[in-house]
Amino acid sequence: MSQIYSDSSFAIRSDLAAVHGATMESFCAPGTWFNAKERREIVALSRRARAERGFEILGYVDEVQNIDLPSGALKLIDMVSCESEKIDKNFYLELVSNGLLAEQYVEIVGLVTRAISVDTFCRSLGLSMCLLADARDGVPSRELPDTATIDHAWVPIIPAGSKGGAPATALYGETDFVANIFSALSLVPGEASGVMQLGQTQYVGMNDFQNFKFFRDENFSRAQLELVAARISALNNCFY
Amino acid sequence: MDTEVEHADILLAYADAIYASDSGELERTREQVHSRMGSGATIEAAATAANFSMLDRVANAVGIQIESMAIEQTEDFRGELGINQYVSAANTLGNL
Repeated sequence: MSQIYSDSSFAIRSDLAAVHGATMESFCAPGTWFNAKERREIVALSRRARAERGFEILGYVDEVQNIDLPSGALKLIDMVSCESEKIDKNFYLELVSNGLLAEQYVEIVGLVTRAISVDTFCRSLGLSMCLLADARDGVPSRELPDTATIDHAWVPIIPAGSKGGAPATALYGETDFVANIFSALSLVPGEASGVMQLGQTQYVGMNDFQNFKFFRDENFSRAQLELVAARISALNNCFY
Repeated sequence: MDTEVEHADILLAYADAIYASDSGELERTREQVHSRMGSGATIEAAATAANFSMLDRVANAVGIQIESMAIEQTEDFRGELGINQYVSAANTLGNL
């Protein structure tokens, strides 16, 4: 997958191609609460949901294999994919009270949103969607961070700093502060890490967050970057 | 809206087209960005849109609150822009 985008007419940064390649590979590898076949299916179902709702995916191929998923998973995949702006706390509580684990909820959110990120990038540049590889063997790790707690989200998160203990250090490094968005999926550290890696490569690295002169291309300033970010967030009705 | 950002018009049109589903409009706006700002800028604009298509959904789906230090800083324009009316606003404003 390191050769992702090698046939593009755009000279895409190698770090961007690498993180997108790693993202695509992660969809077909065992996760924390789902095995590889289930993770691959979740991504394929998200793509199908978007395609059926009129969200264009260039070169769309239906890769759904009819793998069984837990109760509520389909509804969550559909909502995060197509109507995330309508999700509220009651929606989350209803799914969890009907048997979907909070950890599974978080892993699904991570998989769907990371897939949407890669798909959006491809479509934006006129590139066909990246196809999913075959699912790999292996079992979910079922790693549960023992310091996760309800704090600034409906789902438990690992707090930064001493309250977060070893799981916080492993995920965030030695820091007392982490932006809420980057701890949002920390109940499943693998998904939180995947989101952080994409965020730092597609947007701005942690060390440059307050650097308002930051740019990766001399013709695309930080102000222009924030303008595009704000417009997309407004279209997604995202308060955060 | 005057954003005082250079090439704001074509960047906003490109972002709108990325969000929408009209491939012809997307191609037209991408070409505008490409011809006026270059290939690198087009890639960075696409990467930014991709990033926030992800982060916005994460935020909406798990109900995160904005950082306390940002609540006051954004108060003046949240109401004006209608941001306080988003469903996801309740995650922050409902906890004040």
